[in-house]
Amino acid sequence: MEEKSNKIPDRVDQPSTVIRTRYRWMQKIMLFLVVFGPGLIVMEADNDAGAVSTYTQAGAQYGLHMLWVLLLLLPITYFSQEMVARLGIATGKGHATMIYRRFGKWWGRFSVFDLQLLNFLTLVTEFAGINLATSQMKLSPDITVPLVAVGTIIMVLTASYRRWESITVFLCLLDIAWIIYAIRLGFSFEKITPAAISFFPSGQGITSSYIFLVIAVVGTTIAPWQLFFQQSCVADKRLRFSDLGYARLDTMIGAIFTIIVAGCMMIVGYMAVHSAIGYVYKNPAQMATSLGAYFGTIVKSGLLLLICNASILGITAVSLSSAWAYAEVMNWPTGLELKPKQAIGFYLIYILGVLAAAGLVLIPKAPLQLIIMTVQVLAGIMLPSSMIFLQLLLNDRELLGNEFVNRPWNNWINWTIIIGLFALSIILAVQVVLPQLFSS
Amino acid sequence: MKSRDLFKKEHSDEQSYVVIHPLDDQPEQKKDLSNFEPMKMTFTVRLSLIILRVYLISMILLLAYHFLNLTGIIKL
Repeated sequence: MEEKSNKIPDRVDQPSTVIRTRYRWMQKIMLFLVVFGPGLIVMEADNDAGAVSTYTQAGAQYGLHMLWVLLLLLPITYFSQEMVARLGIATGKGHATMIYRRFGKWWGRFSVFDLQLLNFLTLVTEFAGINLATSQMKLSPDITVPLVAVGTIIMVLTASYRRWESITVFLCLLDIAWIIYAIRLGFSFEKITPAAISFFPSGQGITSSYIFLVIAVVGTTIAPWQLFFQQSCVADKRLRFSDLGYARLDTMIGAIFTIIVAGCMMIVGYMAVHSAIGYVYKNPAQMATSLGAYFGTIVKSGLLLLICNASILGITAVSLSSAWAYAEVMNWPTGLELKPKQAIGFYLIYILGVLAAAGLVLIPKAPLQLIIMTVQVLAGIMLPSSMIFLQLLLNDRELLGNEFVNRPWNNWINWTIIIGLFALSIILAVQVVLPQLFSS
Repeated sequence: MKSRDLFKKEHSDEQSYVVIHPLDDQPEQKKDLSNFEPMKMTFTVRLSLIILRVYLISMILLLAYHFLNLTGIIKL
């Protein structure tokens, strides 16, 4: 597959684009740093407004008893995303293009339509997060929601992949504050006792609400847009075959960081219930306000800003996955390095998605609850399909050759993950659509 | 040429290692997908797509039932 050229790239001789070092180890570190980004972003952007809500609720209701779910999800998220990174590096194409080319127009259109719909509804929930958090800050959502929409549009319109990536990585790293807050609210490792982290709270068996929250945590941690996003991002960044090892490390670090942050979100929810006497969890913004009454304004404002940060990360990543996927299958020019006039369709999809979602949230009495439920059901339908296509593509020896195709152990792990996701997605969809079957 | 092949490069009388950002590097020749036909329908591929179809149809029926239930046309 790889075609080697003996010609030294012209740009190599330009001092501004070449970093020279005398040490091999320094070169490896620098190489990792230039490749680093897509893996962290795709993972951490999934800790979006919906995830903050799910994780803090899980912590508030079940304390530390759901930390095991996150630990279980660590290898699952890594293996899923490693596959798309590998596919992106091997083909230089996005996930939507690959489904279109290898499974035909029907499956291609189905995947893209489903993704666009699901992503748009997810965007609405991100702006709902901004609405909720800024309302608690006594700021008018009529100002903050459009402001965030314009900000996230400007982020991509600068026509520089590196600028967008730097800003987004910075926003991801701001989530370290969740760890600080977990400690600030009084959490210490002494609280992690076998009884505290057992699968179920003492005296309680499996209840329907427990199962639902487990499924919600799984559904929140692995989302269909992530598969499309990372492959397109890797292709847009033009990662080379030799970058695969670093891309894997990037994905691994992203997965570990995201799971730690998610765990801290659970801990914050848990500490909120244990710190504030008589506190009953409603939503993360209300939780931040309640904690503010005990720990001061800094805690309240900080947590509300973290909810906004989660939403902003979700908005830019989800919108980009839509824009990349649609523009790729339409054969439009795509890429964050292109100026807006060079990739009008690509940028237009991004802008229209953001503006429409922001506008919908500002409509009084918008059916947000219905939208959230639809997101859950559609995600349930979409995720196993995307995973199956991914698994089949990664076994496509004609396409990938021996170097990038799945190994047998990859297949055992991946089919196990897919079967598990199928089962969970069906239970989630049935739970949402037929809740009476789960009433206990 | 892969950028990493350029890293170990004689530079005056000492060796230096070069790092190039992927966006500044010469684009690599990836697989040309324009000549690719849809994937061969092996047993695994066929079975996977059948399961996917059954799954999708079941979910659509479930959603249709939910819609009818909400509108009060049928009740469980």
